[in-house]
Amino acid sequence: MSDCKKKLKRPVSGSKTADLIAAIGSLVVFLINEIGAMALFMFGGLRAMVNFTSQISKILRQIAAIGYGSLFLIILIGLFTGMVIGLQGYHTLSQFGSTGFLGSAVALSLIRELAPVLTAIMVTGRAGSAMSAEIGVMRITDQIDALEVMNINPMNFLIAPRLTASLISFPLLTSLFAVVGIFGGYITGVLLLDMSSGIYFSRINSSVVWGDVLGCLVKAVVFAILVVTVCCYKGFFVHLRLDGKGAEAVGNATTSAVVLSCILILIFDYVITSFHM
Amino acid sequence: MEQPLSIELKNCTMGYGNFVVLKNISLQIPAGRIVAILGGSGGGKTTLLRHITGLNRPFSGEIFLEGKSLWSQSGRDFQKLRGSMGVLFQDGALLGQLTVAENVGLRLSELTKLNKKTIREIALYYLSLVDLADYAEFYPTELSGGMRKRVGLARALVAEPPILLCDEPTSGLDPINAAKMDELLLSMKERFPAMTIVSISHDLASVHKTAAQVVVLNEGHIAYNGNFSGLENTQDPFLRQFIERKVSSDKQEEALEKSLPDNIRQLMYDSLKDIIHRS
Amino acid sequence: MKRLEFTVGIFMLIGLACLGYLTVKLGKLEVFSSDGYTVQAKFTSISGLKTGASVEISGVPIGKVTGITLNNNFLAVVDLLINNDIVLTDDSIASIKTSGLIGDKYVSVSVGGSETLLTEGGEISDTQSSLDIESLISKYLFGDVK
Repeated sequence: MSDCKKKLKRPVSGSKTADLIAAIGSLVVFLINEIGAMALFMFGGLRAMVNFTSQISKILRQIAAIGYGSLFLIILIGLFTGMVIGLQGYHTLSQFGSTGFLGSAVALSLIRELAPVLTAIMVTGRAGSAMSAEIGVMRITDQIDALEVMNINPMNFLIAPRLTASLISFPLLTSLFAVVGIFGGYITGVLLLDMSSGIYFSRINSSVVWGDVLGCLVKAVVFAILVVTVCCYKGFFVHLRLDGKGAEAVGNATTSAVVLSCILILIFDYVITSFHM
Repeated sequence: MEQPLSIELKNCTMGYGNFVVLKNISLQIPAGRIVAILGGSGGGKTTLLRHITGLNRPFSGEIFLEGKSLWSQSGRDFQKLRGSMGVLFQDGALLGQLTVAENVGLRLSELTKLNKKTIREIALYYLSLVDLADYAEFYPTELSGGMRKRVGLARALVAEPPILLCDEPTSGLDPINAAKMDELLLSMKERFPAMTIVSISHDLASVHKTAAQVVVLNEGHIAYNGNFSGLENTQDPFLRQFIERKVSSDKQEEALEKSLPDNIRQLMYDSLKDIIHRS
Repeated sequence: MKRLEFTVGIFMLIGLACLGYLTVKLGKLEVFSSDGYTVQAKFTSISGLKTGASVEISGVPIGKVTGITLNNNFLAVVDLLINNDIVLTDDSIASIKTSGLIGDKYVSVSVGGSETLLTEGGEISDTQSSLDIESLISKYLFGDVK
């Protein structure tokens, strides 16, 4: 019912410290609830992925939206990221007279960190926000309720295809980012700053090991699950938001989905890197 | 026991979170009837619908569908019981990314292994029932509000469920389209005589010719439950107001007589004279 | 529908090509079982040598380091995967070298004149450990050099 408004309970008490502690306490409880709900949502989505054979047309549609749709953006960002690392790296390394290491610097920083993180953040901004808004609008126009009443599980219908498509798209986009970035480094290092192309590529070849590539792909997979979970969750429960109703709530949900995704990407990046080192 | 009950509510208290909307409601709807559930906005009509369809669970009390308690069923039986209902949501609730025909055939394409051609044929049949077979390839946003509701009705009618629930079937429609919707519901009743049709509405005029049982909700309880003639002859002040609001309203007349003070009116005109052309 | 499949196909093709380049070319993922034989060499110090480092004869790569472990006598046991077309004699000398002053460590092998050839699981018994620049400098400074 539209007029059913939830009121935040404010603890009333005499002392300010007690109020503060109560406020912190309720915030912590709220955060724990949110994390738990999101984790359950994620497991629900992952479990629903089992039925992927019946979702192929929806998965294709999502790959087109997430993967193909981000192709140009990733190429552009990857190219310029590689070029700027090439430029910065060259000038830093030239102070030690070891510009020969430019290839290693570009390839390792791209493969280990920049490709997975920047790809995930870019795709969040492009596809994640769209996911959140689309599912949010479906929620406020009763479409999700209609699915449920028809006994069509929204997890199967909406979330699982997006998860599967992201799990396919993210590693591919991340690889594309890294390869285009290495080419960007080649443009600055070899074409503009007259390094030898043989040294550039042989350094890349000798410094990158399988563990680096594996770490990069692990990050891409983790970020895929993270982004889809957060963005779909925020859209899916848009009707429970306290900071607005209707279209405003969808806007707020989209904003918070993108912000939270980016924060979690960076936190998980640190965690995975520390395991990997 | 003269007629089997299609929907039965026993002492149900309903709401969301810790907010109670309907208190201790008991209601019996026999099979094969047209039932109108009326009430002002905020009176708990949509809450009732959401609980009957199993979207929300009542705080206390039990809901029986076709004689079976909804919330004591488990898993598949719950879904089966819910599958016995077709629901027309307020604005149709059509999925925007699918065409009209795909929307109507959605339940079949998602839950059965029927091939695409068969599903399309079935969808076209139900679309023809609501006179929209020509719009099969349109997307919901390309249709008018009335058409969207009719598509929603076609989707709810697939496989002729024993219970059809309609949330505000005529609200927001012009009189011609509203009358068409009413006729459509009546013709469905003729076509599928065993079907129980529950229409939830705030709109009295459109409902009184279709309903065999009228339930009026007010502030969390049932204010009236009986046939329409009984409602017309009631002496209850709230119900009288509810019926007569349609015919005439003192407030409305009062409002027409009111006028803006001259100096303020002149102020408004002056401030707008560069913006609005006035001869 | 055809358009959708085409776009997805394009994306998958480009993505898989890049993934393939990263994993097979840069990551040196062995898709097929490796083409070579493994020999062992024990060193007293390998400091700086990493798995994946190259094995060279006269500066030409002939294989790579596939594993580094410590044995019971606290010696570093290094597994060297040698290409099949290279034959090593049992009196070959394996030494750990550095490319440039601060470059990567690699294993250099110089082949002896023996008639016996090393096969799978064989051991290069004659080894020279990693050259430690710091200890060399300190020996020089503090006069330990005899």
